[in-house]
Amino acid sequence: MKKIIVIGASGTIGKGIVEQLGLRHEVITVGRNSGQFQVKIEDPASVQALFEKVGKVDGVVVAAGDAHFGALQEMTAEQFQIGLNSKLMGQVNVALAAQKYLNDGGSITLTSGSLSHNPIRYGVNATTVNAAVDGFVRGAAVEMPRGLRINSVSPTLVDESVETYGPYFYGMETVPVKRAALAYSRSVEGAENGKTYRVW
Amino acid sequence: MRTVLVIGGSGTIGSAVVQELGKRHRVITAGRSSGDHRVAIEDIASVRALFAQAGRVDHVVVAAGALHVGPLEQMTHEQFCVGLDSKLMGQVNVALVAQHALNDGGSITLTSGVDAHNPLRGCANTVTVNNGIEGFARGASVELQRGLRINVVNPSLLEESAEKFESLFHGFEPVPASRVARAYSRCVDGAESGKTYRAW
Repeated sequence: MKKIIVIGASGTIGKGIVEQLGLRHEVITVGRNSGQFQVKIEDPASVQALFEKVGKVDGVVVAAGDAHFGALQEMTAEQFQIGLNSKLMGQVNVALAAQKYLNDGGSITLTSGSLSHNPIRYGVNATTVNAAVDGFVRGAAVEMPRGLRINSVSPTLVDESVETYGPYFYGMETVPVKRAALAYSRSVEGAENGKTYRVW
Repeated sequence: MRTVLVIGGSGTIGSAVVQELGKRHRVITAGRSSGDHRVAIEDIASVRALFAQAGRVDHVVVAAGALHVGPLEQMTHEQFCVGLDSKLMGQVNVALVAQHALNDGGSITLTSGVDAHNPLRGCANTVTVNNGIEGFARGASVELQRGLRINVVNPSLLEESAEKFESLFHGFEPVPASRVARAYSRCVDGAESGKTYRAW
């Protein structure tokens, strides 16, 4: 049994991850406003404080971070920064801190998304950020010390979110959260490094 | 003959692009401290001022932007932000402004880099940023109006810079800047959108 932190544990995908990893591991739930511990991933000091409180762990999973959805024609630099600061830099902040707090052989798993390769209208910020997150894990993987590994999971729209985001994704096949959660298990419990597991 | 604005026109790649495109187009150059106009791409107000000064242009090429290179283990939030603010957000700023400023049927060409798909030690920031840029073009291409196109050139190590960057790129085959410049011509003079042209 390993000790795994799940950041974004109360989200739609996060709950599925907690359920899947909870079958075999001790899971510590973290969220902006919920869970056993709170963190703002956009703020490196908040991320640092989280790891100081939790101490050494074997796995860190992030299923959190915002991106901006809106028309390219009207997009401002400030709106574009939302995704860079939150879903991209927030997850990078977690990885930069986690590399020091993980036990030898531990893992970091980040979340990107299918928009990286399947662009949609209003999705340019998410497409950029998701592609960058997948890039980050490839870049960081070659430098991970002490047998640490880093991967990303790239889910498509999940069945459970169709009501909220369905109109952006017409024509795309959705997947159950349960299936997306398996990809996180593959990253945490597998042996690969620098991979992106596509759930689409 | 069309009008092409080359940002970063005095760099190693930029000067080769100016030479290649200058064969059949009117080329205007811009740079941080050289060229026909001054611009700091990190500041969208500076980018807006550039397009106001340059007058109507058909195509814009960006071969500019700073990155942080250094070991992941010691990388700070601030160091990681260097690439996000400059090479990534800087090029996005140009595209956000250019989509309104360019003539119908024009194009936007951005620059990523070979490490996006071939990670190197010390390059977590550059790999992230370069993948973000390629993602941005994929995402933006489905929303650009008025027949505008957007593409990315992904150059390898240049023969002209091989000595300077040798220690990072051991084993990589350098390519001449003139070959890389042809990929920019393919973006400007071609018909595709959302693509990344690899010059390696």
